[in-house]
Amino acid sequence: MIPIATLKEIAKIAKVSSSTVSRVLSSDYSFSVSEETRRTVIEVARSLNYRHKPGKKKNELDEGRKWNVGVLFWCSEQFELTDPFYMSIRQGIEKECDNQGLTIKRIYRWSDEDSSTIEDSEIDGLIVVGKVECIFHSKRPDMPIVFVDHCSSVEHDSVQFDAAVAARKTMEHLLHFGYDRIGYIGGNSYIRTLEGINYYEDERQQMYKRMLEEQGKFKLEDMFVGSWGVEDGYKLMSVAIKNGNLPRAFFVASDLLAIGALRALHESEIKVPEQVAIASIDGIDVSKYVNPPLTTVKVYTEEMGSTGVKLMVDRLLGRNYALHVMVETELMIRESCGSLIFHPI
Amino acid sequence: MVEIATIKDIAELAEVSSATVSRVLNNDLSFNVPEETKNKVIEVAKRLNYKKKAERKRKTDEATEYKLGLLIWCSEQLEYSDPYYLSIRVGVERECLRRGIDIHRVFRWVEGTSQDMNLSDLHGLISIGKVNPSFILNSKDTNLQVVTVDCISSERCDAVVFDLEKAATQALDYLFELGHQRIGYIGGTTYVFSKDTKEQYVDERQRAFCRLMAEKGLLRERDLHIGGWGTESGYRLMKRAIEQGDIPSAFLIACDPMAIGALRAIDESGLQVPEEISIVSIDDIELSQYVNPPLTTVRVFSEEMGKTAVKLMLDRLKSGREASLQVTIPTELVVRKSCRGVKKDEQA
Repeated sequence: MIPIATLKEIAKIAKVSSSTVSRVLSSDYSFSVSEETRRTVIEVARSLNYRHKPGKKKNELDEGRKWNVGVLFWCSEQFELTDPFYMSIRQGIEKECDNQGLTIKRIYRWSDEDSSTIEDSEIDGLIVVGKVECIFHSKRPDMPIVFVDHCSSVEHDSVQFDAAVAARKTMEHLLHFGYDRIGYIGGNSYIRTLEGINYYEDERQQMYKRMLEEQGKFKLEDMFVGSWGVEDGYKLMSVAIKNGNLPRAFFVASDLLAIGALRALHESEIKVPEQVAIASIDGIDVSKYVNPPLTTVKVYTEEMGSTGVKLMVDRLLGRNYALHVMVETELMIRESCGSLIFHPI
Repeated sequence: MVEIATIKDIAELAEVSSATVSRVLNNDLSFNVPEETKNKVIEVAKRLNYKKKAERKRKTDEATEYKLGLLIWCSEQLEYSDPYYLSIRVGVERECLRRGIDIHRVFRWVEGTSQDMNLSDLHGLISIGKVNPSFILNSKDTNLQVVTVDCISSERCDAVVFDLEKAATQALDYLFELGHQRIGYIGGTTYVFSKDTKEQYVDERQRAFCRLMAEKGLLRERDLHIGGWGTESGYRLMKRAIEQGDIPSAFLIACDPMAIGALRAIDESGLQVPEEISIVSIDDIELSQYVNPPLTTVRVFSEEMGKTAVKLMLDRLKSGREASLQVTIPTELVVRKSCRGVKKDEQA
């Protein structure tokens, strides 16, 4: 058995005073210690298996504790089943809760009829999925809340993906091929609050406009915005086709919209990517199986879910400041953008 | 430096052969070792904290099996003059100590020479400061996990940053609240180091300052003073600002060390802080509360940045996570005594 070392033992081997050891290990910089001495003390401490005395804060060694968390979804269960993006986040949450030994005590859903009332007495923490502002009249204002796919406030942890960066990657990719006109198909974005729905301009749409404006190529009539489902993608592309004079390429804000759009193009016998190129964002599983396989920016949604859980555990273990996390995105180049037939300019 | 002793080390000190050491420590009675020799070997082994290989291996079945390297982008002297980086490193070391993880190697970036770092036996590398790790990620050590602190580079590795623009905005908003309109900026030039090159870019604090001032129509090029980082530079730049005349009523200074230099320059000129010039800066190093007057500054939780880097690294190594994460650490305005409010008619 390796005994737990004391400051005295460390001091002896490192050949310094106990007070020096104490200062080094508590990072006291008002007292100047040479670099070499500091390193020596730390290494001796480590090799002697020095452990801080357990403080009031919980630490990882405190194993017996099992936590209950609640998960609040922005949408109904039926809606979630139609949206692989949110389903994947949920899977990430469930898997990681399993890994970490957390129990998902309750699943709440935000519905339009009544604002969610959350019984916070039965949960240790709340994970919110989707763009929901929640101001809780909670008896426990310091109950940790982690937001996934949204950043609610500075004080609560958040996990998101950078939609503006994802949009830039998609647009840059399409612009590489020299497509002179790029259209946009997207949805209206909003945040659900206790007072109602707040619409805001989606970051993908903003980036699309900005990048074309920079080149003096932006045209309002090439933008088609509606809601976010497959059906909407189909309808919006149908409108674009009917208008005639289709852009050479489309940046579609999500895979579901893109899949609907592909269908509309097929029905009108317009060849993708030979006549119209498509690129989108999400990277849901089915995107590689549609015809043609969709070029898209993959969002690591399962990772977003599991990171949300990890942040929650970290909070429950005592972290008292907020962290904001962005999960990377990755451009998956497939056929719908024209990569097999065109070379980038 | 203290290392885990090997049989060879013990043999050397005890002045016996390695075979003898091995036999003694394994309690091999088939070989006759004089009592005195045996005691000597055991004593030396204890002193050097020798652990049997099996014991060592058992201990390393946990997180302690990971070998981490630390890359720091500046020299030791610079680290001491800018406690921000020192504090990040402390955060890393303390978290490693807490978890019993070995920092196997420390590298310092030396500008102008191509660093040939031996990374082959490391599981992970934590890089502190503005070094673009692409050349590491693109090299043959493809299993090496990298976490950068205080540098946004490629996305393919985890990164811990604080929102510099936000910090500058917090500081500047405070000055606006106090009624200041003539505001100057003192800051440094930022570079990101690559394998053989360095790239200059406009620091986010400077960018935020220019943007916010321009939005209000208050930006004056003459009130921007950019030089090197560090106390000496802060001193020189403020001296220059004072000599220029028509001095702003407030300054946003990019970091505490520069602000401390600036305070000295103001003091030498006979002007007073905050009565005649208000100063706000960014960092909240320990010294900032002890200078005269105590500095109003934006606290950056730098030690927590180091700590978070270790947590990210462990998460990568343990869970085999594939997607990279970028974590932003909060900042908060700490109001002390170096600023005061001004009324409209006081502005020149």
